Amino acid sequence: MKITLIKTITGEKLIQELEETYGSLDRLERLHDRNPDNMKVYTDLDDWKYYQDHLDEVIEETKGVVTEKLTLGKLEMEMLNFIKYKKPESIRELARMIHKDVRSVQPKVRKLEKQGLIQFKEGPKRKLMPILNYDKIEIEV
Amino acid sequence: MKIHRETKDRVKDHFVYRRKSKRGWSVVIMPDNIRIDNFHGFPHIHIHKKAGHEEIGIDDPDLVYFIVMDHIQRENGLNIEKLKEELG
Repeated sequence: MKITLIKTITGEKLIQELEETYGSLDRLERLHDRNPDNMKVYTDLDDWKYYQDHLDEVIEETKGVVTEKLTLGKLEMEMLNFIKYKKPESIRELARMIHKDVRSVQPKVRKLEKQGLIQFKEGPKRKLMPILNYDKIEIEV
Repeated sequence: MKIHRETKDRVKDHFVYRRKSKRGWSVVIMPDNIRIDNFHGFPHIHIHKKAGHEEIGIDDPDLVYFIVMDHIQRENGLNIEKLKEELG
């Protein structure tokens, strides 16, 4: 299965997202020094340095996942929809929104994160906040 | 049952990241650590950072992305030599 997530952002927004992922430019530089062959880290570092001087530049960012393990059923689609538009502050809140038991929702949300469809951000009271910050998801079988 | 599980586990997930802007474009394939971009004026592929880069024939990020995704699915992973041929 091929999944493509697409979003259009500015240089400023990209840097904000990189800050959330890596903490700081210094930290990313240290990570790159430790793993010079990691092309994702190299690309993020190079882009951070460039876009900090080009905050208004428009970037189309795409993330593609090729996986054989993903099952996207009605519940997963519903969860993605709620994560995107209702922005629950925790997995428990998401479970409440879709009227399901948190024990059945949690493994499915973690699977979506593992597959790269959503991310987790630390929310209020150190809760894990699921986020989906792409504009469009294309699924091809 | 065991055989089925082992077969499934052999197929790894691959992530392909593409960014394009006025500056140019880049496509990164993880966890294989391959980068294809058109910075410095021409499209090229970095197989290994220290190994430098090799020029490719396609300078269209959408087409490069499509070829890479299609290749990974068809080959159940990356066959670098074959991918380079496909990218011209």
